[in-house]
Amino acid sequence: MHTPQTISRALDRILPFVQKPARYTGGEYNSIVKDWDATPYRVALIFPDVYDLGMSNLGLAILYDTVNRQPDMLAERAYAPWVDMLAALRREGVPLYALESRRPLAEFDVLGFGLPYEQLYTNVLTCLDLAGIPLAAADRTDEPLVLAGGSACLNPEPMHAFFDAFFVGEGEEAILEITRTWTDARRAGLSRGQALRRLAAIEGVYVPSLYEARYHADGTLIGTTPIAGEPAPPVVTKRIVPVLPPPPTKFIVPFIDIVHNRAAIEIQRGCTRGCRFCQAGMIFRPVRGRPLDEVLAAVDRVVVETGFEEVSFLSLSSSDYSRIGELVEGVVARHGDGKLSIGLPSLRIESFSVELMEMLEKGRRRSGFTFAPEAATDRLRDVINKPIATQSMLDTAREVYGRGWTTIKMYFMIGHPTQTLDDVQAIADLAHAVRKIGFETLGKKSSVRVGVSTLVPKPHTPFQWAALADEAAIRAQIGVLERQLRAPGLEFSWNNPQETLIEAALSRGDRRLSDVILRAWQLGAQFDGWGDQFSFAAWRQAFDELGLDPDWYARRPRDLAEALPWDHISTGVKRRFLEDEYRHALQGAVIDDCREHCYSCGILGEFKDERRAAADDAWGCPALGKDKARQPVHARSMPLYFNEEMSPELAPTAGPRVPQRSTKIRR
Amino acid sequence: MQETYVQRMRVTFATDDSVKYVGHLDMHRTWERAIRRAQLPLAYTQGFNPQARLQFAAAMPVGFTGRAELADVYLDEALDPAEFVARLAAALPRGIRPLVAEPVGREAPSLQSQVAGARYRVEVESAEDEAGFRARLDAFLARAEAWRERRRGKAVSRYDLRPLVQALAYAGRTAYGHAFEVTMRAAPGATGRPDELLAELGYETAPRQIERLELLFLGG
Repeated sequence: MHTPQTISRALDRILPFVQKPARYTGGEYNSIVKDWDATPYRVALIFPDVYDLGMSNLGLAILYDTVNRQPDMLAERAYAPWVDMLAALRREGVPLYALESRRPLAEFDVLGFGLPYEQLYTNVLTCLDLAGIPLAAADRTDEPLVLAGGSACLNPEPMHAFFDAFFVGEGEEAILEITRTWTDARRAGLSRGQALRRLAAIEGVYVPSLYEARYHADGTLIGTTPIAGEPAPPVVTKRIVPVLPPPPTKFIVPFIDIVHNRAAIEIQRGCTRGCRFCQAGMIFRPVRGRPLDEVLAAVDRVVVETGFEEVSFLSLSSSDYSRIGELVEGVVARHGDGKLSIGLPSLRIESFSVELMEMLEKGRRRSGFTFAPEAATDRLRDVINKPIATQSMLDTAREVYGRGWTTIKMYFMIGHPTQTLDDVQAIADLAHAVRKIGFETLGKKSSVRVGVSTLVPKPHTPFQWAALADEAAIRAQIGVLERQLRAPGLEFSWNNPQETLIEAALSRGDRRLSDVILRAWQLGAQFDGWGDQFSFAAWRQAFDELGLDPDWYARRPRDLAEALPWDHISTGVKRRFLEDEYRHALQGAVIDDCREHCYSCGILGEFKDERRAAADDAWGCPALGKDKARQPVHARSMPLYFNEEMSPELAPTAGPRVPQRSTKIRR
Repeated sequence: MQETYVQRMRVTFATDDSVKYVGHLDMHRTWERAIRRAQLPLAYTQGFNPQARLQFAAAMPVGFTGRAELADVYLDEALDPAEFVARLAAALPRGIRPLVAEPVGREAPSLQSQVAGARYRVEVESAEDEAGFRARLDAFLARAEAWRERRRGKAVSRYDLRPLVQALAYAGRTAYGHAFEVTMRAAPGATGRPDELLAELGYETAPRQIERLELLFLGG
């Protein structure tokens, strides 16, 4: 039996001998320690990777704040111990504990795992194992509810065997409802199964044990449906908040230096651009901006409540925040005395971004400026619906170097649908062109850093039917780039294709992958997102032993008619919209920013009530109801233009506005 | 270089178990952030990369707690010491407790340059009886020398621990073993550490609690 006292004593034996021991102690400023016995509802929020990464997760920070605001609830934190600590805890027989109270996780009512990406799956098993909780949901009796939330839950099936429930969508309100419902049900004497059925009635909750998946003889899915007689919805739709609640400002201030050692304020959720590869852009719809005054007030509070040296404004596309100019001016006016730095990631590649950064970094050392064109030719950027003209990128690069930034970081993906070797060659050419501009402007101190990853087709995106590129092709393309990007002032990095394969297989996997994940974990897979810890051998063997093939999951193009493992999970975006957008990708058709035209992606229909609950200007989507100002609505997603090389025969249906590529509209 | 400031405030503070694994650089940043939260008028060095003017008397080894640590905080405005302590107390993590502050003169030498040693209380887990444990302390005191190795990266140097131990006395039984107090000398290149002494006593890996009771200063 472990108590906070026995755990603390064991830590005194362990911590002098591990790296960064302050990861494991708690006690940080703004961490909240409540009276355990006087607080009836107890939630542990767990990020299944090291503290240094998990502490930077905004989703869990929001939930920590939300839960702890409730007088009768407490939230504490736990992270995956790094491998040295893991070994020490096992050696000493110490269970995984929460940092605030140092109580074993098994004593909480709810264990809420943050699951933003697939590389954390095996670490979930490590955490459960270390907490002494049966890995399989079916084997649990009196243990806490094991719950997951986060983007990876949009395809919950590969982890269905390990979680009692998944929460799909935005958890700000739901976490309270789930915690109360579960805890009350269990305390009232309901069985685990009965309590889970109650949870299944909550909007956004998916209880996988109430569903079954059936397969065709060839291994493809017939469908995932509620088991006969079970009170579970055929489709679980994500939950959203109509209006973003005020942002948390009392961030926990770590003692150690963590990955993002700063406060983060979300200025906007969702994105109107519709890049076809981008899962975040599809699943976080609709776009909801935060009022400017609220953001500025939050910055003021963060300074006095945390003392952080840096505040970062988060959104999927900062340039699209409607009041971005005023925001930057306002924050510079209030905090521009040099003591606070402001981060503004995800800017578009245009000169306005350079002006914004210039204001923010005035008088500071300038290091890197980031471009994320994702593809290097105009044609391929039409395919992915991220239309930026190469020429305007080069103009922006000249401006960036001209104003004193020495490094431009450029991010690309290879393996987009329709990609040819010309498109790969263009990455090298574009990097060299930017390098040349840097050299002309700043001389030898300028540099270009090129990062290339491989497209992982993600569920709930228009590319969900596309195949991951063949490994031989990926390696050949990386080889081409590696040879060509060897030059002074050029740096090139790329992702390990084996890691990409496992990510892609897990990303689009079905229920059968639970056994693979368990087996890979038993064979030593953990910390899969850390290159030096990733073990392809473990994954390979696990797939082999279970008679499954990662290529079948990752590299098989899927037919539009095929049932997908995540068809019973809805983001509110209609499958029809995604199908149209996939076809448009193959035609080189570009659609506009959806604040200009509504393309009927399905969000507005699905979330009518939420739309009406918010102010007219609070969403990027048109207002609903009589007498509301409306933007044009297209019943089907209508491209604004077709790429001339790809679809010369298609008549243009150009609307009044194409912001980035006006030269290409055919009239 | 002449740096400007208005007041040099010397603060005495205690640290507890919840911050004892925080390294010195991290502790420095923790104080800077606390001072910023408290909105105290901290002075910065001049130049392109301004540094907070904050100096600790002695870095705390990882794993130790402190009963009366000292730091100098340089301010751009004069503050009442009691107000300074109160504002800082509200802004520091709960494991760091400021006790008292007093302004010191500009001419006072830096704290680090004046540290001559420290007194520690050490509690160590042990199954040994009291007589046996006392005998170990006595045996160490009876030695003429106690050579140990110090590693800094790849460089290994030897030093004699014995003369660094100025006083050593048994301090009673604890729940899991024994306690003793030790006064150790600190000089440039020769700082005695109680964990080194524990190793010499045959308790190299035993669980321990080490508290720095006070810092000792030259001429004090």
